[in-house]
Amino acid sequence: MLIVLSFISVISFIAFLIVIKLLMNIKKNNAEDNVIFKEKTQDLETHLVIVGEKNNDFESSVKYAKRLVNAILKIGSTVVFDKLDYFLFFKPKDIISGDFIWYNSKYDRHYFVVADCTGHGVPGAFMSIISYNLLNQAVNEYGFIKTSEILEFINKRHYEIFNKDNESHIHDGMDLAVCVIDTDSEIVEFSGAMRPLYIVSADGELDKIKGDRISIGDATNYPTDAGFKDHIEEFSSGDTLYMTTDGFVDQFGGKKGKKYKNARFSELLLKLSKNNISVQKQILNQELSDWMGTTNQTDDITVLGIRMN
Amino acid sequence: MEEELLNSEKYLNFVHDLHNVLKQKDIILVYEGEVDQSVTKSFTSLIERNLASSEESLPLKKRVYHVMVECLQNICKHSDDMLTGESISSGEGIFIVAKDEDSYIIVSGNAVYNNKISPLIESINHINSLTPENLKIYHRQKLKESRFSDKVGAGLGLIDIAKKTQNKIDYSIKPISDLVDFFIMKFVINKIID
Repeated sequence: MLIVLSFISVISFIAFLIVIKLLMNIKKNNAEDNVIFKEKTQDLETHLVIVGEKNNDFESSVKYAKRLVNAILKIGSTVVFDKLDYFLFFKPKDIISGDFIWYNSKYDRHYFVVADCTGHGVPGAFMSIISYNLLNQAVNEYGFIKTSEILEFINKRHYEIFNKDNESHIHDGMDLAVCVIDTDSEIVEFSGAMRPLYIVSADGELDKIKGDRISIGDATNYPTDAGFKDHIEEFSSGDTLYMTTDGFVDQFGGKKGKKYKNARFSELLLKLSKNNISVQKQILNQELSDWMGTTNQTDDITVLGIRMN
Repeated sequence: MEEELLNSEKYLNFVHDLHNVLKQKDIILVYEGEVDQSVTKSFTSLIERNLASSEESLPLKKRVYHVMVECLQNICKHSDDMLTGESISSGEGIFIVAKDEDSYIIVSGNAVYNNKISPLIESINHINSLTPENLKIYHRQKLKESRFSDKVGAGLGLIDIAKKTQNKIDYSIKPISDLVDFFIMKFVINKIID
């Protein structure tokens, strides 16, 4: 009996020692872990600083680029068109944008383009600069006069740059509306690549002229058989035209979180056109923020409105 | 050898005479040949520069420029027909810009199938018969019609020119062959605009 008891006490003692040892080991491990944890945290903090710096570098680089892009791709606030009043509502999703506008005047013929390059941000801006230069070439160097000719030229050059004789597999391109307002003849000529032209007459009738279902840079559909169509419409004193990218109609919002859509946008333009052109930008801005609420912006948004005075 | 020299001298004399005529008539530009995109661009640039350095009023400069562009577009469109084989002429046309004391003169001449001549003359006569106010109404009416037609803007060019020049369109028809006539139009833009 005594032997048994002493055996149990020995066993207990050994067990006690083992537990003590284990506990000490855990404590030791904890201490080691703490050191590793601290090291890792420091490491992470260093990386965070690097990422932060890189992000700052990138952001300041993009912000600097924005200055250049803005200088090129928008109507300067000092530009005045004889007989025409205008507003430009331009709301990029990121710092820089794939939406851009282009204009040019030859005496009484005023060329306006509103374009939407696929994507937004930096790649969109790259595409904008290329397309902007192509428009300058088409009108200033080659002297194309008809809007359909301008679109054909841009489409051809896009194909040559990105798809002909190479395997870039670039499917990016753009949708755009081109119009020429002839203030002397009181007409507007229009061609569209996936974009329409809205005209609200002085007596308050809305006309939506559809563009062709051809997207610039669609290599799978090049060369197109049909080509772009020319439209000619009357445009005289009191008439207003609107050119847009699809950003406004595609914006999610409202009570059910749905897209704004074309029908609502046409109604909006009708209401909008009853106002002086100088306040239309603010009205659009208000309508958009009411619609969006807390929803994020889906895409770049551009609306150009022009009225013959 | 002597005969050749003589001929050569004759030719040079002709050049001299031609130069004198161009000077006398104050011809700024004369061109004979095919009118295409690049030709149109060169001429418009040339006239733009010429007008910029002149002391003419802005409304006059605008009119000369726009009438010229419209006119070149007309010949250009006709060249299109020739490319598609609808016409037998080789795309030749003549184009002149000149001025005198009180006006700028723009002349275009090109071959036209004679079966197309009578609708053309009818249309010009009609345009010539209209008052400026009726011309405006006619322009609007044609604009609306063009909406439902495949040939967008067909016939609008001449109405626009008439509106801008505020003068009657002069024309002349000279037969070339049994099928084709040479059709000349003359547009006058007064230097003093009311």
